[in-house]
Amino acid sequence: MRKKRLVMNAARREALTGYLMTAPALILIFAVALFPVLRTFYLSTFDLRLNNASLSKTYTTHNLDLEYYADTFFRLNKRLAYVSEGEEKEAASVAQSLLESINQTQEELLAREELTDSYKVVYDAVLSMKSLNNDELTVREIEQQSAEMLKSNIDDVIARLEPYKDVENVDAAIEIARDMESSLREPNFVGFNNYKVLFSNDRLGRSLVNTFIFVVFAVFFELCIGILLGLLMNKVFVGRGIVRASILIPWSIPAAVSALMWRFMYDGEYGIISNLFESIGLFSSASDILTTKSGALFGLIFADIWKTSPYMGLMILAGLQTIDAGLYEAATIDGANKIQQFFKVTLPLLRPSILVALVFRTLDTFKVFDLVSVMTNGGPSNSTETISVYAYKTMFANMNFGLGSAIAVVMFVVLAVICVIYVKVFGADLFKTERES
Amino acid sequence: MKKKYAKLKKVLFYVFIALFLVVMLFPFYWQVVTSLRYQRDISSMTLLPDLSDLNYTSYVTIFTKRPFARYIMNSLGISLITMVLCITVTSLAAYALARLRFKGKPFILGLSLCVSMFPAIAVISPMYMFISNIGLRNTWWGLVIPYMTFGIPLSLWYLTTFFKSIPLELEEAAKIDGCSNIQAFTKVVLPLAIPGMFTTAILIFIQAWNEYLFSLTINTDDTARTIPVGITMFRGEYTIPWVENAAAIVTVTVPLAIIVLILQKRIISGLTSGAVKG
Repeated sequence: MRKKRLVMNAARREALTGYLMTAPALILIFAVALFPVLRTFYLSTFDLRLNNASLSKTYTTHNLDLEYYADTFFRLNKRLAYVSEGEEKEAASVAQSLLESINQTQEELLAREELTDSYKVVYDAVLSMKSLNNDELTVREIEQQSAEMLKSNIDDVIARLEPYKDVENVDAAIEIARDMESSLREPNFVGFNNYKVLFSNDRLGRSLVNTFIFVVFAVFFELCIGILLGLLMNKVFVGRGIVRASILIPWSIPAAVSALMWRFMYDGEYGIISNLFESIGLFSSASDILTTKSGALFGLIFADIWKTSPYMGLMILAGLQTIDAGLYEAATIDGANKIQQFFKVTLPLLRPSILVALVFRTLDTFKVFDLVSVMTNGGPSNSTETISVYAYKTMFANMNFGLGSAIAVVMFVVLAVICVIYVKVFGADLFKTERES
Repeated sequence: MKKKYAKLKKVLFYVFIALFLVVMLFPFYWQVVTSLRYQRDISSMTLLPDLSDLNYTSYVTIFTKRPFARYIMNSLGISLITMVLCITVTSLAAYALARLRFKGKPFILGLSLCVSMFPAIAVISPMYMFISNIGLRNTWWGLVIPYMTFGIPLSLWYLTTFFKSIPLELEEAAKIDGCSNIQAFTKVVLPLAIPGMFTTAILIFIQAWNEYLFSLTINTDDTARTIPVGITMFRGEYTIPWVENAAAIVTVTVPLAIIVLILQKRIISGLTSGAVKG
């Protein structure tokens, strides 16, 4: 009885040590990978634009940027004061009443939201031309009613100033009032609207089709060439070391660099490969590779095959080396020729290695970004735009992070579906290798 | 007759090998040739540059007129920090996963494999906003943090495979001699695991060195760029400075190629360990 408890304690202690030792890595994986993915999904439900101050953050409630408000309030006050002291009597009296109204609105707003103290700090900073750069202090949550009140006050100011546009300072006052409106941060939660936008035009569909074409052709040829290379390297011959080494170099250089190398060789004017392809009749003109849709897709796929099929070859070679040589002897004795041996012995035994390589390469190729971004940047006219490039452009060229995140989520889901399909179709084979180890 | 046939086959075999090597290595060779030309001769298709009038100046101008040395420093620093952090954090976890008995191990390994497959695009929007908010854009740390996204799960996966391949008997002997789990790890396993850790470190280093998307978006200052982005951003007055591009590519590829060639056995074993052992 006592012995059993000791064993149990030891087991428990071992498990505890195990959890403690894995904890730091797990926490980091969660912090830098899982949490950001969840966050991407969250961001995709907002209208988030980093080039627009009032949409650059996620707001689920109404907020007021005190700094922005204080600044515009100060300037509006000044302009209205000028107008009220001006020659035009009618405009002056309107300005006077507006002055009263905006000050009263401010008083009400700050009192109701208990912001008077913070506002003072911010207002002083604005007056002394200091930038606070502290959103905690300056962006404050307010009631929807307060937001509506401020908004209607601003609209009122604009509407009542409109008739006196020609009077000095009035135009500037209207501009400032419009500006003041952007100190209000309305909730930018839009639910699935980004997805609606995404599915309502065909750019997503086209980029998915481009990606699939790229994946299917690249992975298919990489696999075929990879198997051939694996079989070759499995032979003993002079220079095997050189072949193996030369294979690793394309794999080890950055994809962006290889894309640049190929872009130069594909160039219509001074590209050696494009001119070669023209002279053997593969393309009617050397400039076709980078300027036509099919040419550019071909160029991308070709460059990818060059860079990655050697890697595939290494994976296949590793699989080949686990095959028992005795099987080939037995097959030879049974009278099987080389071709029969390949189809009856090599291929079936290589199946797990091929599948693992296939899954990895499919997922990897699906994410393709560097190559396309550097070589064609999705062009000509978006015809080689893959899903990653589309997401990147949406986020960093248009600064639309909400929509961009939605594209990323779609991509993530498609990848997950591909994974599930692979596991469902080849599951048994994929996991067989794991059990053996 | 048959002998002759075999000889022919052998010749064909070597012809094929030679052809393959040409296809694999020609793009690099062409970069070397281009880097030694003048920009005006860029459209020349001769397979050799004008040997009597080689132009080495671009190898100088990339360092004097462009911040190429800076790119190299940035890439080295960022990749090394990423590598060291990943190995340190995951070696303990990998040991536990390879040796200790506790529930949820397949889940953790499966999770790390899945996470290593995550597309960078799927994490970039929150990562970019986070790095911007804490003011780490255009710094080394601004890239080290996102590089851990793929570095940690990859190194966890590789290291676990390596630790598993160390014979259990050695450790058991150490434990019988009175070592604790931790001592067994530091005194027996760690020394034996160094080759595996080294291999993992190289693989993580290369991944970080080659990364493009985070580097392109997060470090946009010219002085904070890494090599892959820096090279693609070379701009001339009217055209792309292909000669300087080529010189830069040759300059960074040669050291990398030498390292890879020296360590090729290790790298291949590292790359394929995941595939064979699943």
